[in-house]
Amino acid sequence: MSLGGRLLNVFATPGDVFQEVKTAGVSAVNWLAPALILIAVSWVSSWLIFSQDSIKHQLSEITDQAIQKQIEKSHMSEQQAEQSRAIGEKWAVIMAKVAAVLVPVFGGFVTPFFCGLILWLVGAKVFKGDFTFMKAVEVVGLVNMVSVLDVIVRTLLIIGLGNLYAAPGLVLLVKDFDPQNTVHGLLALVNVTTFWVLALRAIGLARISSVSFTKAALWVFGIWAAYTGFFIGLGVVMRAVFKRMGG
Amino acid sequence: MAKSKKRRRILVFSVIALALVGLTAVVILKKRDIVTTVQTEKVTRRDLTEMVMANGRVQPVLQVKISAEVSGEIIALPVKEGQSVKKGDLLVKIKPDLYIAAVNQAKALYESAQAGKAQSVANLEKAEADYVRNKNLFEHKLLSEADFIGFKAADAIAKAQLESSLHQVENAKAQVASAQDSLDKTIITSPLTATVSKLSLQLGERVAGNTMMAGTEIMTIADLNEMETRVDIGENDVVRIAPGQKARLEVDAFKKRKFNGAVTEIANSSKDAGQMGGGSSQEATKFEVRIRIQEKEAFRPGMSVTAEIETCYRTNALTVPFASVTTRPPKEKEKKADGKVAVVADPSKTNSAKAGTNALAAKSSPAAAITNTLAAGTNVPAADGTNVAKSDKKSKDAVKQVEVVFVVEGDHAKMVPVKIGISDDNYWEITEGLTEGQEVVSGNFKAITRELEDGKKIRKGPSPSDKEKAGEKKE
Repeated sequence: MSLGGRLLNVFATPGDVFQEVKTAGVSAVNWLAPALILIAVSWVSSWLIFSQDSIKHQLSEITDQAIQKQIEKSHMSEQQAEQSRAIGEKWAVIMAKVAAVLVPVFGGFVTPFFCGLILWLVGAKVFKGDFTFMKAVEVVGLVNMVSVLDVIVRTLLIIGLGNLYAAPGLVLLVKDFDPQNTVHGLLALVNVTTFWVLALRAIGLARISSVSFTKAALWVFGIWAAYTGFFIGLGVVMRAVFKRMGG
Repeated sequence: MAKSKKRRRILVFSVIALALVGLTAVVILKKRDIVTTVQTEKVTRRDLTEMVMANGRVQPVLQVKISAEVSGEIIALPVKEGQSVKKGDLLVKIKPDLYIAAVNQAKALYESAQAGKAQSVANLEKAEADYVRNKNLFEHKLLSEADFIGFKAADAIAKAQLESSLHQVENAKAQVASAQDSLDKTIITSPLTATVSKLSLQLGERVAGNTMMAGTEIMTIADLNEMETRVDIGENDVVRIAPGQKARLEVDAFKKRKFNGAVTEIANSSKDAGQMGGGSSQEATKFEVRIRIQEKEAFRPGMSVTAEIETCYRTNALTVPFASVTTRPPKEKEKKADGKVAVVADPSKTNSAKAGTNALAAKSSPAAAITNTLAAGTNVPAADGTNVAKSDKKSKDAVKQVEVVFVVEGDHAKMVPVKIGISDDNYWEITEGLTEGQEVVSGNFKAITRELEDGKKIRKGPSPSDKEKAGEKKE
């Protein structure tokens, strides 16, 4: 199968793609190409999103609300508040743009290795599979093509709905999404492409470890649930700690 | 097997393609208006009290500075700071030795003058007798004219000497009185029943006295039963103050209580009016206002106080939240039938739509002051009635901004000019432009002061603090 074939067939016939990955030699292009595509698509997407007036307005509103909360707590005068707003807005835009550039790079290059490590630990150590760490990286790298599709779909949803939080999932049902709201955060996790990525990783793990899909899926989804649950719990605890410190 | 895989590929890619095409169609066809999230509140009737806030200090109504009129060493100081004294009680005794000597000296001079007077009387009697006797002899031509004139002159001299001695007696008498007065001033008694609020000197210290102006200040006594607050009010607010107005006072030392007071006195001149070059001072012009405290408490002179003076009161006034009122340039005028255009720039194209001034009247209290003025736009309407060609050029004349409120009409905001009356910390009185029950935009601050324009799309949302409280409740 050609590179193009592998990149496209991961959507329709992932089993075949991962079987080929298992039998073929180590090929860095299997994770590098999707990483580069993901970064390029993400940068284009960011440029498109930030060029929309409705999105810029929403970003400004989010920043303003956060600053307004601080203003109400600290009982600033309106002149001081106006100065804080101006500085806050300026830095919010800068930080959003910096994040838009750096996060895809992180996602494209770090994710295959980090998630590949987990896959390898489970496959090689738990399932006693016979494959190298780089094979796991290739699997995760190829699955990143679904992340590319996720970026494209998310971009179209954000621009189409004019909502920065739009995504292909239950979050579309939430009217006023609040990132601070735990329930909203949990709804945002129910994302079609997230589950698709997890399922593909499970298929990949099953093929390279030579175990059943069910077994592999249990481990992949289970680790994801534990990892997500840990960070949600950590967020709740941190918020409680900050609230107590803030009086 | 290969066929089913091919079919699966076609199906998956078709679904993906359809989804992408559908979303792209939504992106192209859907109109995306900028929708501003705002908070709203209804126009309601309520009682409104306009207040002027000011800071100052508690002072006694009656306060006397005790200073010396004569110089000397303090030999008795039987009072302490904080001690109550009655009218007539001894406060200070200054060393009287010098003044006793002066009195004795004056008395001696008086006695001497008296003796001089007696001598003059005796001389006059002798001179008068000589004159009468020799006048008789002169009339009988038994005495020469020259001798007679001598006796006549002696008589006149004796009379004059008597008059002089009488004046000397008066002078000496006055000197005695003056010396006695100075002696009396070495003992200082309390002019009123009060409390010693400040003791500036100690026993043994020297004081310099002066009868023409205040000498060394020895102590201050004050009647602490009657206290007042002296606050500084800015020139913008002092015109609203009148004697008799009620005030609520918060004394820093008595945080849990609020005291009642009434305005008794308003200064006619500002605090820096008498200073050299006071007109060019950089500091704000302040006027002193005195507020009598109606309740008794253990106040001490100098305590800090914050006063809220009720300057105006309205019952059942139509009100909107303070943040709802802002300013904008007036709406663009309609094109006239004769082709003359008194048009102004379209608000949607102007920068002025992005600027505004929130709640005009500057309040003196820090808590209520809203004087945030943003830069006004420069594309402004021409004056009404002028024949101005429609143009894209920016008008150089600044336009007077009008007070407006944004009324919620469905999912749009309608800009309504209003006339405002008085205000307190939270609400403005509306005298014209709104009716009870209308829903007006009351937040967010940025939207009201800058972003909102007539007809702009809005949606109601919770305020950041309401969101936080709701989140806390759920958790």
